Amino acid sequence: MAGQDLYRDDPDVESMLAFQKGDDQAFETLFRKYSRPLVNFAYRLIGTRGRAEEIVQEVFLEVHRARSTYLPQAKFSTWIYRISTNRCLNELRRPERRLVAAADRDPGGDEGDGTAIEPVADGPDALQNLEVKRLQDAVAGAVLNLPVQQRTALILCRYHTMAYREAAEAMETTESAVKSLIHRATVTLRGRLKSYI
Amino acid sequence: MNGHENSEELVAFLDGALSVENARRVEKHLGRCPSCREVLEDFRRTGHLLNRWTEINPSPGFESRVLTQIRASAPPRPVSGGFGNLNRWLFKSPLRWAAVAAGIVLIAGAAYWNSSPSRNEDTLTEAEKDEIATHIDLYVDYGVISHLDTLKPMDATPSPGDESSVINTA
Repeated sequence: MAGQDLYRDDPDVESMLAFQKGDDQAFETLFRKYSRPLVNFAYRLIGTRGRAEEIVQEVFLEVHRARSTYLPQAKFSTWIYRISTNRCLNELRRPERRLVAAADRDPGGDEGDGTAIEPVADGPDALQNLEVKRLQDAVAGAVLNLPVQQRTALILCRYHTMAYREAAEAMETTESAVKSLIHRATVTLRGRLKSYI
Repeated sequence: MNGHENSEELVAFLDGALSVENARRVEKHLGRCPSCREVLEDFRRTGHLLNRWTEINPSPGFESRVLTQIRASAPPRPVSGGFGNLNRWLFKSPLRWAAVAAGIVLIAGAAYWNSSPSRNEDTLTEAEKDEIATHIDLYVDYGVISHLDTLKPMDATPSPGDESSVINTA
């Protein structure tokens, strides 16, 4: 019980416990806080927005189903990223997924979502926008081609500002393993993005 | 090491993931090693490049679509308090499950024991009472004489030497 009490100061754990007691608004608060970061997490890990959104939906369904059995044994963010990581890794393990992996990806987020940088046909900024788009695609491609464990660790720590220890909990591995994964990922990226550094 | 800092330590240093002692050691080394400073700078620039992969927005209507889907497929809400609390309490320990199961078995057993008909004077038929009286010597031999007070209500007046006198004197 002492271990569980450690996490009761986490406001998100409080929200989850409130949801457990019947406060549906608390669930929606958690959804609004985490859905966008988790879509980005899954998107960066998998490479397609559509599937990333489906995975996030599955993650929140799982959270919703856990209502009656939930016990705070980690920070809420660690717990939900662990669920998301497992879902994404299962997705990446699907055989049909591996076959189409490279073709399936859409680095740069260019899916008409409003954030992708579209090249402008005419105008003074056209060339600059094109360059920015090219760099974004290069970074996305370099990250997406990292081995999946390195990619997961890198995304958790660099894009979601997790400490190594927290990333290790989300990945169900050790802190020293995360340290090594991040190092290898950084060295690989430095090589792949050398022309941009 | 070749006199240089381990590059894994340099990446961890950038991420603020080293202990205070190790961070001081790396810092001290960087102060006198241009080669390691250059590697560190490369790692730092690589880290900054990652920010060029900007976040995406979920597709329009994603939030309301997912919340509607979740509400539609959610199982019925558990009862809060009462059995809901009992369930949570039980989930915390398999030993509690075992204790509760044992308790249920004991209560059920006791209830069955109390409700099953006992072989006492109220349930013996006249024919059974006659049978016992006839074979009273056998019952004595087998040590069940203590149970024969069931025959007390019998009206037959024993005569000296009658087998049933054994009953009354027992």
